[in-house]
Amino acid sequence: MHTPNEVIHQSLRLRIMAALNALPAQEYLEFTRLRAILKATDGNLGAHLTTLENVDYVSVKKDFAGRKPRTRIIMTDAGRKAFAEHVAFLRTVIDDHVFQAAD
Amino acid sequence: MTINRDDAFDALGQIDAASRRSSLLHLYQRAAPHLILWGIIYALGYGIGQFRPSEAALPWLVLVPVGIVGDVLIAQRDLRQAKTGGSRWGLWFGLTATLVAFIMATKAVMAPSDPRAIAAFIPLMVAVGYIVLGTWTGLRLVFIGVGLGLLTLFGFFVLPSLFMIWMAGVGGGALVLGGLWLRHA
Repeated sequence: MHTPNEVIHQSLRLRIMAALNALPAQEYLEFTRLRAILKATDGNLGAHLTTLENVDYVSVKKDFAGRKPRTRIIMTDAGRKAFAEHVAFLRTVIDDHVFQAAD
Repeated sequence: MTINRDDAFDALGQIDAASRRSSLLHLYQRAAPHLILWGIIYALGYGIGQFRPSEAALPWLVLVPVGIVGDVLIAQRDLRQAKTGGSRWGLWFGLTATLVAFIMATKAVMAPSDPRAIAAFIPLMVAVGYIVLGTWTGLRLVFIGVGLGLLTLFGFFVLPSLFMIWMAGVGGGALVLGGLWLRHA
């Protein structure tokens, strides 16, 4: 039985998780690229990433590419599992409704 | 927390849109350095062909293997960065070998007397490849393929005496610019 994940379900966090989940496992995504994908502002994206990092769904790594500082994000195994479970829950909601309507 | 059917549909729609865009930009990032590499190879190969027409094929004997090795090194770097062990070398090798064999077979069958014909045919094949790949993945590749194809045809029919240098500058330049366009998507 799947249950909703309140951390993930918020709109921007849902899209952050979807964008990261679409990448090959263990592949980092740069903050600037994630911002471009989601069309989010720096502050809003940063705040939601912190929320996801606090529950260990994503890991944020800060380093330098040459002399330029960069921030990269990766989805953790726990994040992938939680995201998959939340998607399964969403599908269950739709399937159950269709099932009830068919009755 | 209550999530009804409409909320679930909306959430799955958002997931689908974000996933598609992320995958597309990931593909563009991966493709960009390959386009830039081949743009430089085009510029060198056709540039030498313009000034040494009797030996136009010779530089390609070096440049094509250099390009393939470059492609392999770029792909290996990407795999290392992704820390993924899985690769599809067999698939890419098969596609490359098929393309090369097709071009050689076509050259043998058609036996063009004008060396510019085969010099135009190869980028046209590449252009078709980008268009087909782009049709399945992302429109930017389609635009690059259409651009490369039209520039090749323009040079071939409108600027026959300058075709090689046209392909060096405009054809190679189009690939480099296309690669930069993908990288900054």
